[in-house]
Amino acid sequence: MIDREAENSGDGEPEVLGRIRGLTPPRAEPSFRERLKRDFVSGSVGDRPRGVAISPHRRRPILGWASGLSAAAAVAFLVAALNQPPRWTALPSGGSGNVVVNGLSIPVRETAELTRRIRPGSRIRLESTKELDLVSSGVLAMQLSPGTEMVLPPPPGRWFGRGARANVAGGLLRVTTGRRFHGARLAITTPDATVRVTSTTLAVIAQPAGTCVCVLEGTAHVGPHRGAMTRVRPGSRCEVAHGGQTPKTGDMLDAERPRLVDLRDRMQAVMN
Amino acid sequence: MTSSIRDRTQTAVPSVVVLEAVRRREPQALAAFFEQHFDRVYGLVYRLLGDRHWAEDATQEVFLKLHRAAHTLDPDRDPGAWVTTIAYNVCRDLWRSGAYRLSRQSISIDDPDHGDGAIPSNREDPEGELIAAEREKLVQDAIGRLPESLRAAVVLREYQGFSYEEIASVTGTTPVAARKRYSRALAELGKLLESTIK
Repeated sequence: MIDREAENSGDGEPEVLGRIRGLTPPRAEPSFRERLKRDFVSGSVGDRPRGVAISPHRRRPILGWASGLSAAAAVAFLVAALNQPPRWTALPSGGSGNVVVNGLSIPVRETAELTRRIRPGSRIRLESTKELDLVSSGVLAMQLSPGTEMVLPPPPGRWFGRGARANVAGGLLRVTTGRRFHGARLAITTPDATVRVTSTTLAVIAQPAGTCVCVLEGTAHVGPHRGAMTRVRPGSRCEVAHGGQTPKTGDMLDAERPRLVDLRDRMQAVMN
Repeated sequence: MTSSIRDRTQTAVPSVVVLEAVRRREPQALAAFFEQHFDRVYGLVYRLLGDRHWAEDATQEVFLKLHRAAHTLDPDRDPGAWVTTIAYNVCRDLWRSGAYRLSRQSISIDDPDHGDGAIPSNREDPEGELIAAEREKLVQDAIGRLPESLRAAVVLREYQGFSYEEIASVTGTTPVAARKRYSRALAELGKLLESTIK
């Protein structure tokens, strides 16, 4: 306690202080006072209901903010983790040779090492005698033919980040989509064309003369990089010549049909 | 004037023996403890809450907490600051409650219960009695219209006789901030009471 006369000498609010200090001390109702005293002494204080429940002391706002942010971060982390699609897996290949992943040569038979090395965005070149299958379970499967060079796309996320982009520098890439691909978008670019894939099975053949896209199922849209897109129906193909602006359409290549059917059927177990 | 205020905020420090008995919750010691602190607690919560019903609820809550925490009482120290801190925390919880905010929004300035709990008993001068009661009501209303942090500063200092250090300890701030709040509270009250002072 303090001597306020001494401390307040410089406040300069004498009228206000006079009015404040002039208030009559509030007196409680005698009945309330007596009842509370009786309850306090007997230990039954609080048994009597209050007019309004008084909430317990709240945590400091900073703790509330911190816990809120932590919870939000945990939820965001959980959602991001759950959104992750299955990673790319290399399936055993019967061929011999190597796969060059980001400049590192790996024997094609070492599927475990291949699976460990390949990531979305990896540049892959297949130097083998047979095809190599890469699978993101339930979402997307790709088959690279010998000599194909491409940049691997990220498999589309479960709820967001559902657009993906792959690049085929040269060679033949077959693609089939799975049940969990539904609603996602995949764009495959070649030196001459862009292919937009939505739930389909198709082959993208990138050659020096141009790009040919054969669609077995579903629909794809194909066009030159700066030109109009052409819708390619099941069983047909679309060719974009090197430097050309007008795609040409026709029946799909006979050689591709059994290969695409084989890919689709083999992948059925892991894609649906 | 000020000396009388200071007198009423100062309570005799109870003996260690009594406080030890309070810790053991002996009825006689609890009764003495109650008598010693009731007016101070009620006066504080009434000034902070500005309403008799809320003050009664808060006072009951304070003594409930005191009873529950009696065993933690330090008999070697004046329990006044401890009691005041508990009372202030109860008021702070009330300020944050939806029920209190709602009731404050619905209180009318003409509410006959929304004034000082004390009615002057000077029956020989009813006109003076009315004027004094009205002036007190205006001051209490002005205190009630202050932001809670400023209200706490002015109430703790003027009606509890606390130093800035003690105010800072109770309200969880620094002595400098407590001094600033007190100064701002006086300035605000000066504005609110401007017409009645002149």
